[in-house]
Amino acid sequence: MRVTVIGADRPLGAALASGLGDGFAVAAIGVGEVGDVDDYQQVDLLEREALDAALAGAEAIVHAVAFDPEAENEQALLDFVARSTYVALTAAVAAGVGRAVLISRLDLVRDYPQEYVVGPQWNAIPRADAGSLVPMLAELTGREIARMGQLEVRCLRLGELGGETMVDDAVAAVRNALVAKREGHHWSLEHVASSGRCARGA
Amino acid sequence: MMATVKTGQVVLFGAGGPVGAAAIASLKDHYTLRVTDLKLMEEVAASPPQNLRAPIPEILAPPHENRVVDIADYEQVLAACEGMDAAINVSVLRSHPVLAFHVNMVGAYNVAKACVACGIKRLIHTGPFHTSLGFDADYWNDFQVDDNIPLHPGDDLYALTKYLGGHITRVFAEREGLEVLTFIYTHFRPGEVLPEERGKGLHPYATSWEDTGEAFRYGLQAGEMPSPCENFFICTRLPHDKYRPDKAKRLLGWEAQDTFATLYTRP
Repeated sequence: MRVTVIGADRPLGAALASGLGDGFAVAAIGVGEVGDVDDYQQVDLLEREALDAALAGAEAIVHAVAFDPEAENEQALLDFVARSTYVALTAAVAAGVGRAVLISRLDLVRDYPQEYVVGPQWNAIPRADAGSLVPMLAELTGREIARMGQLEVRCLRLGELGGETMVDDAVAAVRNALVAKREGHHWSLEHVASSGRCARGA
Repeated sequence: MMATVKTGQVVLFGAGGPVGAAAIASLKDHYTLRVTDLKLMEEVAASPPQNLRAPIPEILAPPHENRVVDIADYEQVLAACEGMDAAINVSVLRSHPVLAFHVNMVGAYNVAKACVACGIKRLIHTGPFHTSLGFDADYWNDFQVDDNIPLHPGDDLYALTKYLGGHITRVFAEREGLEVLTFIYTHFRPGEVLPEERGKGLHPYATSWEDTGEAFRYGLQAGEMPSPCENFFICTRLPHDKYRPDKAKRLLGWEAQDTFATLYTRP
């Protein structure tokens, strides 16, 4: 499967691009000048034409931008994450890409009381600051574009990398999401935690 | 602190458009307005209307104030909110791939954040209901649709960016104690029906400019809301029974006066 990992200039995206392994031909792109992954390519993620070119021939994308983004201020952060998600997913639809894996954060359900058994069917409750809002904005964008029925979007919420969600578990979850059979809806949401309250069986 | 604002000072964001013009006309005799837009209001008023028979904002004299504010600039928004009792955000940018995010989404963030910082309790936010986006989840084939439905903007740039801005505003309401009333619109038209328009029909979600303005006054003066963020269909009740604005009547006391019977009745 030809997969484009978007956001490979950041630690999670680089780990996913490096880790997918056999069966995946990975193109790693990001907005930064360098990425810690082979054959990384810098792409302006806010420019539709740049994404159109980057996604030519891709069968799937992994959009990791909302997980650990960097920006100079709150407004730039909101704009970068929401707009890059919109640009990537609309470009994916135009390119005939069948599937997108969208990486979000378990932080969206962090503020439920500890005693609650929280799962993906619980509403996101971000805080009123840009850093907390951006995973929700990416999810909303992905969900609404998926609703149109032209692209399947599988959203994975991860915890802190190397802590609540170990890198190997994140890679395995993305790999599974890329190849899993679609069951009805074009949007799905899954929590990926190796430990802590969101881990399976916790 | 009560959210109801019966008198006092109100800041309007994006007031250069026709919805802003309608709001100014209805509020100017009841509140002291700080009218803001990205452009000078004099420049806006001298421009052609956005569409045929759409209102153009009146240039207000003191004690009202006109101010240039870029809603994407937090410091400007914060300064515009200082000293105000309520805020109304009617800003919108529809088709520019960059500015739509800046105005409709980042702008919503800036306004909500500035309201919290300035102790403003009541914020009237606005947005569109795109009733026919061409996919099965857009409610176009439904009837008896009410204000509490979750909007489905699809990939429409304008609809999606306003949708994201609406969710940001909701989070501020739920987390920071704002009381947000979100007014939702689709099709505007003048209240006056011209002779040649009679019997020609109308969009099933329609509002006159005059009623649009009055709804803001009712929104400011309404009592406490059942939840921190309430959405309202601001439209006239039509016999199509496709969209139901009943909540606005129930919670705001507002009901459209222009009912357009001559448009949907054979002459």
